[in-house]
Amino acid sequence: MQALRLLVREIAHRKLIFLAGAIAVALSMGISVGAVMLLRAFDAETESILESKEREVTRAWARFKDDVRKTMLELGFNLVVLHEKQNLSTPDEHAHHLPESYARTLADAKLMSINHVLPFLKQKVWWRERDRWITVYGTPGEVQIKDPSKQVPMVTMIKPGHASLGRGVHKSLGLKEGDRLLLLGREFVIQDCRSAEGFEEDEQIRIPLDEAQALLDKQGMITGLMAVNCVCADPEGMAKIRKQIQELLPGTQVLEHKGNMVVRVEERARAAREAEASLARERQARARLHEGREAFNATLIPLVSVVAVVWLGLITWLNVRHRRGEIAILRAIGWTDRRVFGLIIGKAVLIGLIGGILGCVGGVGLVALRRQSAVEFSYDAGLLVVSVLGAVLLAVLASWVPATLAARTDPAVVLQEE
Amino acid sequence: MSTILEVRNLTRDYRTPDKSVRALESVSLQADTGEMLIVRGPSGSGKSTLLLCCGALLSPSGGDVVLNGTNPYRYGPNRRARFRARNVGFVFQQFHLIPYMTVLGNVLTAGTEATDGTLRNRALLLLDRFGMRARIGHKPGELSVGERQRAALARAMLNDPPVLLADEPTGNLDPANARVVLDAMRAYAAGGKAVLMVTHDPRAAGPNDRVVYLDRGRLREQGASSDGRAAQRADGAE
Repeated sequence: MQALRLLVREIAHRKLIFLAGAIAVALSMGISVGAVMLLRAFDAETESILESKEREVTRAWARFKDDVRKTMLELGFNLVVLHEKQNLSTPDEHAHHLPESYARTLADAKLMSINHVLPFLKQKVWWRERDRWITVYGTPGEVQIKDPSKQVPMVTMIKPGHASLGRGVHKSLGLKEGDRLLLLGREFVIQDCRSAEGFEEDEQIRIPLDEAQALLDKQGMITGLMAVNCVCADPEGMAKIRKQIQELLPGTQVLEHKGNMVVRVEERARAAREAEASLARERQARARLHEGREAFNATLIPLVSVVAVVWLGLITWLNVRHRRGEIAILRAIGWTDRRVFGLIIGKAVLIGLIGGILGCVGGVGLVALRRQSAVEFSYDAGLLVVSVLGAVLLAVLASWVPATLAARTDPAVVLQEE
Repeated sequence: MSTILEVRNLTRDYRTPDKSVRALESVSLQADTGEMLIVRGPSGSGKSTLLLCCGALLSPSGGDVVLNGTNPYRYGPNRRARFRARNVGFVFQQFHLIPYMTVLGNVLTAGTEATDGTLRNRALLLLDRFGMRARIGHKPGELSVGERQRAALARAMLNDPPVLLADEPTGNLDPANARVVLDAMRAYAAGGKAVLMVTHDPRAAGPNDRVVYLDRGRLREQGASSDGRAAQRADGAE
């Protein structure tokens, strides 16, 4: 108890020395803890960024695969069935329409080479709400031919009351998914904003067929049908199926159709590859930064620790020298060297504890100030506890030699000098 | 009366790289319980060296020190320290009080195995006896020189050691304070202890004190004590 009292009183008497020691430990710990936690925050941020980029890559490849699928289909969509009087050079003028029932007729005919039938209603209109021309494209998705459970939809189904916008439309109007728009007096919610597909497709607004029919006052009518022939259609096979369709659907003309899906697929592939490359670059860059920061920490932390140990050791040694007479009298009146040693080390433990706690608070504050990202990051309580213990150990290490010297003080020599 | 401190042919040399100085030469003396023994001599005569050797603080180069039946120099440093705590009380000219501890705290630094409560009571009793009760919460810087020496005396007596060793305890005191300190030490001796005081002040010895003279490390003669004991010669013969 006397030793503890002596310890506390001495600290109160020589506050500046105690503070100088505690501050040295606090600075060392604050820098070390801050450096480690900043690196961990950086890693958390890296994880978040890479996860986001990985999702982007996954989406890009999914879009690519979807487009490949459609492209394969499109390459097979080499037939378009239109009204026989439809003028292809001026498609919107004097437009002729077919009955919608032709879709079901063609589908139910189950012609060998035809796997999908897609009716559509297409018309260029003046979009009065937006003061521009727009092509309204109505589609139901498709009409099943085979067993619906085995059939894979060929196009994205547009939900009732929703619209899919071509790139030219949404970019020029600054629209995005979820926005609402008025089209010829009817409100639609934007289901998706498509990327570049080709000039014609980019200026389309796609809506469900029945809603397009209502909007354009073309109930029960369609502009035409897309039908899939075989992928490797030979010219003779093509002529045969053309004939079959014309017999089945009077008043129609059957044309070969090649879409611009290839361009879009290539773009999608490029985008997906770019997303992958971007992910790889980001991963590399973050890994390099991490290594750099780790190397910096590997130098910084030992350096500040050594400086703190040297500084504290020096302070303690000076303190012990200053207290030589006091230590001598304690030894003279019966204090063992262990007790004297404990006095000096006890002070070091307190310096380490207080400096360590202050340092951890400072380190956490440093991280809070320096972090630039909003990525969630939790402060590791275990690290803080270990840091405080480390600070105590550092202080004890720094004070070991001066404490040993104090314990070995020869009282006779000092008392004779004084 | 019994012999509590015995020094036999004590020799102490101080060695430097180029020479050796003999501070004590075959000194023999003894101090009995109930006795105050004064060691007088000029500066440099070896008085402090003798005191430190008697107090188990300075190992002799030759001879023996037997204190309370034990030669403390047969012990290691820590055991010797514990022995000192129980058997020796020191009083110095410079007081050597710890400047940031209160009077009570300074006295208690000498505490040994006794419980805190016991030590505290004993300390308060001593300080009361020396008229220091009102000053127990003060620090040495707030005391007069006389009060400081009384506080040091209380510290020396805390563990009730059989031997009190005082090195020029009145050196910094005025006659009145010196008288108080000397009377306190004599009263302590009269209580069945032994007090050995080194001093160059001729006024420090009382009529009942035994005086020995140290000159250049040798015990030259002893003054007669009040019970008529014969003077001892330098070679220790009766």
